[in-house]
Amino acid sequence: MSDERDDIMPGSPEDDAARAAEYALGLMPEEEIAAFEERLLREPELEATVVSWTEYFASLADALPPVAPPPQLKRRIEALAFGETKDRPWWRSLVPYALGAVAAALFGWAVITTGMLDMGGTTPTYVADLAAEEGSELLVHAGYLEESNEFLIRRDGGTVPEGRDNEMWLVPDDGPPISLGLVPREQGVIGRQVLAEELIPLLEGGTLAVSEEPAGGSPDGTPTEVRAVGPIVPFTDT
Amino acid sequence: MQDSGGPGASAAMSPQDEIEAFIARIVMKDRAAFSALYDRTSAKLFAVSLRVLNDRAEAEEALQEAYLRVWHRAELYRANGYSPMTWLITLTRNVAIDRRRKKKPSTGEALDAADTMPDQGPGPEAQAALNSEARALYGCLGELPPDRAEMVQKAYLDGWTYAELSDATGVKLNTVRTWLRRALIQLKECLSR
Repeated sequence: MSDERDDIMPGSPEDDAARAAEYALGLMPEEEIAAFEERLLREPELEATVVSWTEYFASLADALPPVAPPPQLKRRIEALAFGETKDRPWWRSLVPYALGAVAAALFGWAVITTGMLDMGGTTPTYVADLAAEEGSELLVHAGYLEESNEFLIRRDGGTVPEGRDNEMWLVPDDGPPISLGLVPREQGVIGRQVLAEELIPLLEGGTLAVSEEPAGGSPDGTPTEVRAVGPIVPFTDT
Repeated sequence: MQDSGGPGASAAMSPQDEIEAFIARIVMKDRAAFSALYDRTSAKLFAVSLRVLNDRAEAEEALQEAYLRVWHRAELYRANGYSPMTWLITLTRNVAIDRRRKKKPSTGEALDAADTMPDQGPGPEAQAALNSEARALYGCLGELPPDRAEMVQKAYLDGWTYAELSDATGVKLNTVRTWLRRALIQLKECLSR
């Protein structure tokens, strides 16, 4: 069959048109590319043929139904493009701060952790302590009980004004914060909730934050005013 | 020079002119222009990337790389005379195809006419909205044998190589190449009518 043989005359205008199209489609065999690109530099007409093919083929792509990329991708791209310092998402800046607080969390709050143990009756896998650095007092303790898959939040200090609430957030290594519900308004009361399964892997090495919100919690699903931040650390029974 | 105000300020500009104005300002490291260009073009370019890579995470990474190149290398636009949207599409497609070919080559799914019907082009309503180049191209692809038109689209939109086209059709690689080169010449003749 003649199908087996390429009967296009090498160097003919047809051959050039086919080569230009193969080049534009990304089909040209690798060993032919360098020589073809060499020709493109010297032959404006051949280059114009490639541009013309590319314009035609790009119209295929232009006809694809648009697919919106996830919103956090734009933030990531802008942070990378504009430099880390200025436009980095705010939760990124929490992580180094939280790491610095590890020591305090490990040594300063053992009593409180023990206090929660008594209340819960089981040993938490992870704990976190959050204290406001500025403004009115705010101390919050949190723990995760693997056995019952429960996330516990207790207010240990400070009050929240009428018409406002404190909300707990899980700040993963990568990605926007996830709400873990409201912090109880009264000291010593423990709020409990079953943790969604997909959040469990995010606890290890993660960070918690407490924000102040309008009553009932964040109106838009992101923290309004972050008051305190703390790392999630494995509980050590010392 | 462009004399528009903020991003997207001028209603009188064509979409192409506007994208061109954004690119001109991105050369000057204008962040608002970059943000506006992203808002205007990312859904289209994500579709391109996703089609080639067929994996959301990979497609996001490719899109990120493409926009970073736009930010850092916007001055390269114009060097080769592409329209602004073609330049962006080509850049994104090249990034995505590089990634696709670095992965373990997938054996192409079989080319089956029933599967590929949606690829034959946009429906009549969408077709009315296409630019003249797209209309001409779809018209001329319609004059090719359907399997050859399908190969052209698989090569461009999905980034398939001759080897993948050969796997998917069960036709020897050299034969696939011969078929496709003939189809492309036929396409060129039709387009220049």
